[in-house]
Amino acid sequence: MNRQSRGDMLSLDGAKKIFIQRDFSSGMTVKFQKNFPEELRGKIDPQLFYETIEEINKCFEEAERLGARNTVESCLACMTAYLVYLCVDTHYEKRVKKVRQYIHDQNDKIYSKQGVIILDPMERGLRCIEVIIVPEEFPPY
Amino acid sequence: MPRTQLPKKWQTHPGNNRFFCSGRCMMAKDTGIFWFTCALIVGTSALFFGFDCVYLTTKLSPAVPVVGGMLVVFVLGTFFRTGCTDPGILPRSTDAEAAFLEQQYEPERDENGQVRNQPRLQELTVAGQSIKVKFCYTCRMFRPPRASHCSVCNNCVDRFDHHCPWVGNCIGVRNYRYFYQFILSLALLAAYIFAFAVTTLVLRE
Repeated sequence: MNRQSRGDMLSLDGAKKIFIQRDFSSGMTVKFQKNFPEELRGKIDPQLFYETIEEINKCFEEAERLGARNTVESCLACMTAYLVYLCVDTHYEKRVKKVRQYIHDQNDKIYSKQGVIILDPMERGLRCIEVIIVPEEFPPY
Repeated sequence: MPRTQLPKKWQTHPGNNRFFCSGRCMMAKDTGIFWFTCALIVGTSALFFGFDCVYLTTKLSPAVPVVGGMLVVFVLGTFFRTGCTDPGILPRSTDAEAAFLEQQYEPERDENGQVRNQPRLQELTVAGQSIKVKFCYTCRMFRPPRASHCSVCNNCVDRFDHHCPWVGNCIGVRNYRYFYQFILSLALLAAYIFAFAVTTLVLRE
């Protein structure tokens, strides 16, 4: 079973869902707000939560950064008429996978123990990060 | 207890897109014009290679069909990449998110306390500038800045440019680069074929 999509699989109709919105204060780059949701107080340490959001923001910033390596990779791919991307992931896709893996690890290590699941923001089209608070009646994750 | 296979996202996609190759390719509902464009490109290039290049390889240089061939491969590569990949479709909001937004929304009321029939707006501050974003009633979410709803495909697309029927897809954030390069390379190819067709006619006199 793909544990990463467990949040989708369980309908969790009774669960409380919070949506961490995008932070547009520095422009259109992908960044999420670091306000600690009140519903998580007592369950999750705010510092750990800030670190998670910060790491996600950093990954996306790295993905969108226009560096020399990125430019050379794109030019080389262009020369192959982008056929090379049938076999290899783009720089951006690699970072998106890294974010997914990071969130999965954070869920395993920290959040699931307190009955909280963080969903990959790509599931919502990078509009928000969905946080699900699983009610106590559900079996432990 | 045996676990049932969950349907893939492309199998339950609510928009009007059509999917091919087990969800690897996604196009608009009507692909007729896409194949027409493809036939035009392939047909014209085939005629060029079959007639003009055969003459020009011996008369001028074998570089003519080689460069022409590279151009055609690039044009078709970017064409299929634009037409068959995700333009940046924003997934529709779930019931939970729609309920969350509904509960947050306070409709504007006029002097009599009646609700005004106005498009639902949200104010965002992007890098110090205040922007109003609209609510999409089909996708049940506030569209991020520069996103728009395509009525042909019935999806909200991020950084929506336009829906191109020739390419059979919307042009949005994820395929903008390939679309632009398709247009550029196609213009180059057209100029290239035109130049060498004229050259053939002139040399054959």
